[in-house]
Amino acid sequence: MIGAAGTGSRLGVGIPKCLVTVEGKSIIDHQLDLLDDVEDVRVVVGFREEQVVRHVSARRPDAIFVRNPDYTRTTTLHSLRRAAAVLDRPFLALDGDLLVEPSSFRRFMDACEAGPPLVGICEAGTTDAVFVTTEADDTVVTAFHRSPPTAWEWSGPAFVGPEHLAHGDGYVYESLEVFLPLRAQVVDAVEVDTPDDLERARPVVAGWAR
Amino acid sequence: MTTALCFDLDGVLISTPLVALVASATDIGEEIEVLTKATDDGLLPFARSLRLRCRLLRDVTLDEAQRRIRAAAVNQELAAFIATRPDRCFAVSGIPDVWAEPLAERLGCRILASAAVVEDGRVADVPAPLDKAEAVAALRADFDRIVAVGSGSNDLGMMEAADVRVAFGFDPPDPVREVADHWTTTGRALCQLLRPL
Repeated sequence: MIGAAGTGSRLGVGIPKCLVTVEGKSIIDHQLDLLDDVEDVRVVVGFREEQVVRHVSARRPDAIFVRNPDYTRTTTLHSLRRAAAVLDRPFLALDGDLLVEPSSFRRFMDACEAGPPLVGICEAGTTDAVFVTTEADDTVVTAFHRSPPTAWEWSGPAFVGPEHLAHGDGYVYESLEVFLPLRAQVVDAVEVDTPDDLERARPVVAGWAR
Repeated sequence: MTTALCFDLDGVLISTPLVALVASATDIGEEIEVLTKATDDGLLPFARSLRLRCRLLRDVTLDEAQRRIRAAAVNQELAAFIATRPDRCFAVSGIPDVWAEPLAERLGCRILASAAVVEDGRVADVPAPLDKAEAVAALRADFDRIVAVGSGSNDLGMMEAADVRVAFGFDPPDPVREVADHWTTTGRALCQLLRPL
């Protein structure tokens, strides 16, 4: 489930953030590469939805699009709830602005199993990060917080069921807090929120390709 | 929870407009097409337009209309999907019910269509064309949840009457897209979405 409804206004490019090119292809194409073996791919769309649908459909005609027309007033939590409303099983959620190193994503997918949520944590570095406090060699998250900073941040990857998204009216991590402590799996990833993030991401992604 | 799955017939299950198929038996096919376009553009109400077009086509025998409709290409993925749950699938269309009969056999599900007046082996009139929204709402007597899959502007009411609204196709009209909760561009994606419902 790729969340790609937002405007990405902090990046300031005027196109959906998932369509921004990093190292020769759009962020969502990098993600679809990771999901080649995944049978059921869904994308939450909002801002310029027709552009996103056309782009993704050309690559994955079997993709399902979940509409969030309230994308300017709602968060990823609302987008995922809309998606979960017609699902009878847990799913892997991924923000449409996250670039993930392929082998670490594979390990994350392998760790996905029904039960308590699993969150993917990565080295902190994003502007406005949601930091996590970890235990047990970074395999357990015991807290989410905006401050103080820690070595790890959570930037969206999670294996969750509809029940884990049912709490509160704010952000996904606030709904997940109810279920702390959570299983964690380290992923090698960079999130693109701002022009600085984008600059930081380019050499990182180029390094993965090598 | 029981769920009814309602599909727009021509546009989702079949890609060719069925009225156009019947009109192809006459020499006024182009005129019918103009009327259909004017209707899609909002110049004529759907029900009155359908009745008008059916009256213009009343020289076409029922056998001929059915023969042409029987030859329509059905989306095979969706037909296979319906075959696994025929009792809760419904094809919804404004066309005269007697024209649609051959498709009911092929799809194996009920077709909700307009009650036709048949005279001399021809559809003479459809005095009260099907209101898709009412037809779908009536299913609430038997089902807890209604899913509607639409592709054209005349599906708007049906979608509004449903609990889960799905727009279908690469380029659905803006109103259909705007009321939809989900949007799928292919039969395979639609089956994937509907399977757990």
